[in-house]
Amino acid sequence: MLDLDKAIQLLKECKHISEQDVHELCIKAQELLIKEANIQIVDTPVTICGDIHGQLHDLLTLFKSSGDCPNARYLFLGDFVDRGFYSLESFLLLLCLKVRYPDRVTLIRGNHESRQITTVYGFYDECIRKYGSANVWRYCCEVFDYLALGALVGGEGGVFCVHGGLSPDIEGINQIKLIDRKQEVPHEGAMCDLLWSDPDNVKRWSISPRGAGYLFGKNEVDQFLYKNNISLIARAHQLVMEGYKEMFNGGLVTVWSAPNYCYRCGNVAAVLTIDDNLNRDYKIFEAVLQDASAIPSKKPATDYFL
Amino acid sequence: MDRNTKVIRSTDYDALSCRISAHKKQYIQDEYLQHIIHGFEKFLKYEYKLSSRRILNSIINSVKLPIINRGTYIRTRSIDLIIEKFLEKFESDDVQIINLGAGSDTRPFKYLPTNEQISWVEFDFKDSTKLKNATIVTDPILSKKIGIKPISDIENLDNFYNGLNDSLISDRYKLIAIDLRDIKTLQDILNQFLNKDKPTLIISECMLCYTESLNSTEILQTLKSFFTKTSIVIYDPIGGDDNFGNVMIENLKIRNISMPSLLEFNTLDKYSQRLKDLGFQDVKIDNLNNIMNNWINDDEKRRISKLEFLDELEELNLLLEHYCLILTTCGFDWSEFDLEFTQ
Repeated sequence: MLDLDKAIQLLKECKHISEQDVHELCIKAQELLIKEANIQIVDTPVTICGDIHGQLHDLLTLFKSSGDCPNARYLFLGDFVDRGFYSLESFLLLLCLKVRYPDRVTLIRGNHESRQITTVYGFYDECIRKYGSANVWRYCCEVFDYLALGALVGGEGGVFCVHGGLSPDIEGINQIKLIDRKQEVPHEGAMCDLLWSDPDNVKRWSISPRGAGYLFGKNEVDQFLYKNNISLIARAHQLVMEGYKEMFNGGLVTVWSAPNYCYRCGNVAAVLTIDDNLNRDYKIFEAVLQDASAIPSKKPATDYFL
Repeated sequence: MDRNTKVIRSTDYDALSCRISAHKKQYIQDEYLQHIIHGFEKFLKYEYKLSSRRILNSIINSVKLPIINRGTYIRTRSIDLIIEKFLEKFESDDVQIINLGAGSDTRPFKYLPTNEQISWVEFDFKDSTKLKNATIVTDPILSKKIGIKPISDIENLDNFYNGLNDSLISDRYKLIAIDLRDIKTLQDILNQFLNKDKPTLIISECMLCYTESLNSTEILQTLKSFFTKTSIVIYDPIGGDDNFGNVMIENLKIRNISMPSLLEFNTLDKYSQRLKDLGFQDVKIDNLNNIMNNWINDDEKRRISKLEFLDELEELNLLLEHYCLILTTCGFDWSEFDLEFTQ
């Protein structure tokens, strides 16, 4: 029988939990997530966090600096896994917290919460390395399919939260509610765009150099804010050296929560807290481990061109 | 081989594994890589008694991320482009191409057969040149490409390797064992094997960064003053004026690799000024991100973008901005060089 509090403790210590416990946790999480809407309604105050990418120790720093769960309410914008050395522990910890404190934690889906992407960028290999089979990866991927696509914080005049950005197929938040999200992330269409698109200084919808999603500019953001009666789009998805970056007269913000990303980039990270009056408060934090040497892992050291 | 030399040498295996990965994914085409691997399979054990299997395995089987493949592509392609422009410029002259710290580079096999005016010289540490020498002379294809007869009737591989020269000296291709920090020997080798008046292109691909700046300065000065018409192309990491360089130094320390001047000449301006201070007047410099954008045509960019799905766009830009390409020319006018450097 899964003991959530014990599992949380073990994961915080970066310790192994049994395959059976992972299975049980994933089933419980699915039961919970299936009831959530595509766009989750979240109360203030809430702390919005960007990409984590398996940097467990930095996730723990985040909790330390912004308040432990359940004392603080959290909204994570996806990309829990891949690239970092502890994708599994990071995702399972967030999942445990979600199951343990469902109203205090909201998890939405990032473009890395996908079968295809995790086989390229490390999560699949990590599961195989740690459990000797793909079972755990498979359980997690099934949870990915149930994650919400976005969230709305603070009601009218509030904050629309999504991993990537806008889609030319979506004018109103209500349209997102019609998507059948319980599937692998498609290669095109509204669901794909929400997880893949990026803001940029473009005049209209443009092709994204990532090969999925679109680039959108101030016009698209202004229209979306106006039509949906919100004041801000909070998204993640792009590395920001300063941790966060507001664009378009403060109509959009990118929040990035993986400091020294990939143990190489030297960036700081940030989270954004929205209070009851919809004020924004950014908190910056730095990497625990400035170098990869302290990270006990069989993975090879960070790549450079030598 | 002292430890530091061993470590620097291991960086060539890393570069080789990157080229193998980029070749497998069709970013670059390098039909000679398999011959290099074949030679390593036979001879690496003489250089690394215990760990040759492991090293070989990491060279052949490591899977590189799309960002690394793209970075390897632009690194390889940009230097190729400069070589090709140089050959175009001196179409009707005999020219020399020197690669400092050539390692397992396959360019001579590609360029020598189709460009009769080139004489190609590669420098590296003696263990590295010996391994490459053995690889070349026992491989009929590689031997043919550089214009020598292969050795086919080897009875005992151990005796063959033990008795082999560190260097390979042939008509058009010379592979010379040298520690470049030994300036006296460098002088002697230049006098013995190179013609000071032939137009000479010198390639330093991720080599100066491993040397103390005092040594690299001496190397550059020696080369500059020997040749009357020379162009030097340098590919090196630069630390940047952000935290990237500090993290890089820390990360490389784990692998015992040190880059003494990474933070000293940490911006394009400072690197360029360094060369100007050494008397190089015409110094062009850019970061590899700009080179990727400006040197590669749209069709090729489209081809590259379809090879692998690239999610880590910001990281790629950041990484490429911390590598630079320099082209500096002395003694001849290369005003028709039409690839853009932004500085």
